[in-house]
Amino acid sequence: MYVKTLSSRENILKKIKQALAKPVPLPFEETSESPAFFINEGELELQFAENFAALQGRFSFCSDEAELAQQLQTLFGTRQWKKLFVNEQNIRELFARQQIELPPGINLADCDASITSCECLIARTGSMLLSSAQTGRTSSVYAPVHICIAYTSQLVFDLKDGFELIKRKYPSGIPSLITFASGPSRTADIEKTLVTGVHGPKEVFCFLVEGR
Amino acid sequence: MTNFTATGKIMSGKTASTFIAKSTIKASNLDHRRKINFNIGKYNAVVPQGKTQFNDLMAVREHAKNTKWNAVEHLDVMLETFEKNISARGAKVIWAETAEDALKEIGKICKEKNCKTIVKSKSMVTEEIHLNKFLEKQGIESIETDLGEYIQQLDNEPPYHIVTPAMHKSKEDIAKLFAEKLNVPDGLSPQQLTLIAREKLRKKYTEAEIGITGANFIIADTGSISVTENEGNGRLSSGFPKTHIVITGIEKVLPSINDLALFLPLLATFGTGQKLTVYNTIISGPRQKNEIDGPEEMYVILLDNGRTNLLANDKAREALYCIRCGACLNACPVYKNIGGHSYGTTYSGPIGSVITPQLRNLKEWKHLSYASSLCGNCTEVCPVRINLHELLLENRHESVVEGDSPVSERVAWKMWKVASLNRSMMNMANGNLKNKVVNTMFKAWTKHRADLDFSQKTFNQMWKEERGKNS
Ligand code: SF4
Repeated sequence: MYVKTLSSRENILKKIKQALAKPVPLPFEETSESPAFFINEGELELQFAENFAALQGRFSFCSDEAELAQQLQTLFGTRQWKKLFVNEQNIRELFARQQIELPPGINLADCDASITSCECLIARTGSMLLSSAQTGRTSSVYAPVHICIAYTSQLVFDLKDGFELIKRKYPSGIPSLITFASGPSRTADIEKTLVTGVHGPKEVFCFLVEGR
Repeated sequence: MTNFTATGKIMSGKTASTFIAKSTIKASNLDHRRKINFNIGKYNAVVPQGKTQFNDLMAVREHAKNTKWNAVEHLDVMLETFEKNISARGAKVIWAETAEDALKEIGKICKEKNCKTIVKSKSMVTEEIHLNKFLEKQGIESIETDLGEYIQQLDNEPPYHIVTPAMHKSKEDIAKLFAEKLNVPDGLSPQQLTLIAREKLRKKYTEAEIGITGANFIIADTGSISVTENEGNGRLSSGFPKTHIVITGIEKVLPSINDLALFLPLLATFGTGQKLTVYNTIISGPRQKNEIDGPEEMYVILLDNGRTNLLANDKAREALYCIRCGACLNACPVYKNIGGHSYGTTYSGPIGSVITPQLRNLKEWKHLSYASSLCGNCTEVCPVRINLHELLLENRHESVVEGDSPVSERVAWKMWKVASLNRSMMNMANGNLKNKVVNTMFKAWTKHRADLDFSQKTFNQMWKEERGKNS
């Protein structure tokens, strides 16, 4: 069974090598060695808040964890969210510190909201960089509501900085899945009408806490 | 040249005439044109917003083309590096020369896993190899999870557009379809329809044994694949099932993960006018030690299926730089008139007309290179600056040189090529005269194509302007 695959591999590589024996020239001489493709204007907090809100993300700034706790309690109260899904130790600890109760035995499949951390926030695009090493693959996408808790120290400007951060943090191999999530799940497949909450979360919150 | 279509048979000689017949009907269908123009109008309204994110868009596009050049000129090394890196993470890489090979390999995996249900996210390559038909024959339920694809699957139709599969359907059409097929009331709103699809599909992600996705990019240096989507179905399809299969063309390679910092925004802007698509997911293997979820196994199928033909053609090679954003479809007056299904191919529009004759059989599909007014819009909008209209001309030329056409046609196309690239003849002419020349040359063709509408700018004027921007 492997014989066929092996020879397919060799055949394809052989064909490629033969084809490439005739090179084509570089399309454009680069003018400067590394032009800035995106311009970093203004404070990262502000950029992120603006861009995330423009994607219908719900943004909230908290000056410390106590304020975060207060805001979360208010949110859970007004929305009557009781089934909160958390699978990260550091979030559990944070909730314990702030005496927010987490009901046990909550399933991702029927929770009201899932609460996660993130690797970093991308200011330019209003994105959260999430990873399988930290939050897993499914917790931030299967719940109807995703709540992300981040700290101002986690802000970076662009995707490029996100990649650098990940490679630095995981030198022996990046997590098996990383994703840039930018606002709620959406579709425009029906007459280009924007509808949020297709397969992923309908609402995405980001609580940005000063510090750390 | 491998001349196999996905079903393994050489197409019958009817391809060109079918194309002409279908496109004639579509072009005169006003309702169809209204829907397409509506959708493309909305696209045109948002793209300029997306473009404002780039500091110097032309520099970005040139850099992007150079990057793809580098990847494709070293394709063998890139693929081997990718294979080495992702294998080290526990994924299995399978090389498939043809659609049949790919299907056979997928069939084998399904059997091994005793698979009954597959959740599938949007992938043009799976359309190319007609995967769903194959799985159906094996008795496996393969569920399209992208909303547009889900709609098309309900209606038993192939996707109409590579980015917006159900572009040709109005919301009323879709409401009616849901009412018929899913037993829900007629006349639901897009919001309600979306919610129904969500509920129907939600359980499937956790039930399915296998998830299948395509890849927008293959990353050599980290051994990763990258999937771009707005809905979250790609993340769910690669998150829940125990086995994740990725099917991708060998040309999707980028040298480094860092290149995504440019290619992801580029794809978003030219595909849908967004700054960044909602989810850009980079996967480097199955679930790793100390990760809490994810598939136990990951397979990546690298598909050739005629791509090495394109590679071997040094003029057409740059068509492999395509990132499948769909911009050239939206910009093409012929596409707008005749619609995605008239082409009768997986890849429609200008890029489809360029690559299909090379991927398949030049003879059978050469008519596609005539399915263009050579207005140059496609070349102008392409984010990776592929010289699409030049390549269309090139295909015409090749089919003539290879002797696929009758003598009279050969002479005519030769004249056309000389004329349209030659300053002295065509450039003096304004659009009207050009129309006349072409109409006289190709009565049979233009009869079926309604009005030929050439830009009043001459080809060389546009060409020069475009070139001028480069220097
Ligand atoms: S050829 Fe260019 S414009 Fe057309 S789909 Fe490919 S990348 Fe987009």
